[in-house]
Amino acid sequence: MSEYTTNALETASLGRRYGKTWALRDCSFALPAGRVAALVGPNGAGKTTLLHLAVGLLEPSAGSVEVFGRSPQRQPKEVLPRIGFVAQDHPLYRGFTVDEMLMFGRKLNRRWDDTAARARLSRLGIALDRRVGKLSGGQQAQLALGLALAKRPELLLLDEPLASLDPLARREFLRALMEAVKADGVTVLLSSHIIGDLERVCDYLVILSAAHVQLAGDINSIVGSHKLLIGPRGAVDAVAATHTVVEESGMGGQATLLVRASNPAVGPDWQIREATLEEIVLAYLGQPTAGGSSYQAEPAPAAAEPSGTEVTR
Amino acid sequence: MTWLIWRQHRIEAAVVGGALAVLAVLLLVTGHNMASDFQRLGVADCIAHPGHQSCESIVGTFRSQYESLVYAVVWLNLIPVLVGILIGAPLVARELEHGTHRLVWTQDVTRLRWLTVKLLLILGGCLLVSAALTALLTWWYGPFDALDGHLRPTGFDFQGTAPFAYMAFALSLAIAAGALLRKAIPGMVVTLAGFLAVRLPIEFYLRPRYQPPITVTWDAIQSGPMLNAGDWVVQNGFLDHLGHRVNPDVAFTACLPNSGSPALPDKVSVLQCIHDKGFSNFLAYQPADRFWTFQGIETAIFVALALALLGLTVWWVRRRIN
Repeated sequence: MSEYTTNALETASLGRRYGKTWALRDCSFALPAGRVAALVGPNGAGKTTLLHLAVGLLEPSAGSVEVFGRSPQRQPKEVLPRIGFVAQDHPLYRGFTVDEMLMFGRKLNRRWDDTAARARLSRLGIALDRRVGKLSGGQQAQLALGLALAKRPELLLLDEPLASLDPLARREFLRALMEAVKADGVTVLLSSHIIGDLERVCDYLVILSAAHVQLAGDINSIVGSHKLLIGPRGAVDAVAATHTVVEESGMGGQATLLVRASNPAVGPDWQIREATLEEIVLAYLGQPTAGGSSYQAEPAPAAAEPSGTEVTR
Repeated sequence: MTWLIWRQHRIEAAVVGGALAVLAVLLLVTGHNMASDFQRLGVADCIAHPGHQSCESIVGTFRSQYESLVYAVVWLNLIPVLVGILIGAPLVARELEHGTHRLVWTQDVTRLRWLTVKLLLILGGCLLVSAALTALLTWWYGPFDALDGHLRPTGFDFQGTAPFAYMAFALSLAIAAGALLRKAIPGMVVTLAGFLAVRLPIEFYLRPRYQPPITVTWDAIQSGPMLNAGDWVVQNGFLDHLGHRVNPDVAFTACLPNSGSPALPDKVSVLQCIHDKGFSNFLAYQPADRFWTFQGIETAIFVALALALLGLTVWWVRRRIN
């Protein structure tokens, strides 16, 4: 089986239940290898659950999850060496020194790249004899990322890596991540409840809301296949009859619609505008739970240029 | 894996090792004194040639001098549960509390292998502690072994294979409790309670019944049977004229003068009275040579419990924890 035909991560009707509550339900999407994907959703949307299912920390209650075509739960020996995982709050052994954390990685992993890990730490100015508990939050996050990368993973999963970091540490973290992506071509799935920081980094998007996948696909095609329509409220129904309206907003007689269409065919009283990624994400996050029909955008050409959209905040 | 386990548990190892060293010094000093007094006072000679007139007082002197030490040593029965609390309860629980299970279980080494190696090495290390203690205490208890044998609780609890089984049980209980409760401190509490709740009833209720005891009966006015030094008397008292065991109080109240009476009752007349009212003596004992049978049964019980708890832990950690 060729690497090119295998998805790095693929889920089918994946679900996880805690008692009577579904933390994740009917989740189907694929992350092609080579992508840097953002997993976006509000807190409690099921992002951590999805990542934990993907790395085998959790067992699915329904459906299936596969990493490079293997089950993380039933074939951990084949899956674990191919993944790197940084859990939320980047857990580390706080009593260990940085050097001992490297030793930990070396002892527990077969393909450990000690040289690269040390070089990365020295570039960041993190001394090897420091206790992990004494490092700043940003340094701990960098160390956790360094440990995950030194495993030489093919799929790197990061759970809210930016949440506890200040803006500067956030930028440095993303820079370190991008360097690694450029150098090793690792596939990345990065969860966040903030979209802004991810746009510069990611070329693929998975939107999770209310335990369901709302949208998954290449960012360029997502942006290209959504438009904002601004026009009279009285004409909304006519547009909705021929288009998928993701969100309707606006005040008074004027309505703003986000529609799923690359070339909406509407009358001259509608003004058509490009939608920003953030507008699209927010529209999908606002969707009711009932909109369970997940939408898989068509994959874009492999050599897609990074998204040119600029988001104003 | 071995490096990680050593790195994570080296402080505990130092604490246990240090405590063991202190205890060893105390046991060597007191044990040496006890062994030399055993010879010097002539207790050894009395055991070799019983029947000498002064032997009763010699043995009495020796016992009164060292019995309190034996009572103190009984507390060492808590060592397995203390080791369990210190090392076992946080073994999985601490990883869950700090969230580091999400780190260690996503390395190349699988969760099952992590747990298996950890369990085997920690259990192995703790059993080495048991081996050292058992060797020390077997030597230390030597004089009392000669006097009382080792089927009785204090000798039994520290010799043979049982101490290893107690350790395995306490540790497995602690690891399972910590893993299932996901918190080290509650795991420690449950370990202490659980250990005592199993260990005490087995010692005081079950162990005297591992095999039916040998029962001898005799007339109250005659002298009782001669037992071997190592035999373990599990029950003695009176039988009524129908042969039913009765509370000793029943026989005594029937024959002792009222408490108002000034004169102390004469022993012979009381026994005669007990005899006349149809009571006889009985004594149930476990003979000394059942030591290894009882050790085997006791060990099997605790090893079975330990294996069940370890199995539960493995299943729980593999399937239930996220």
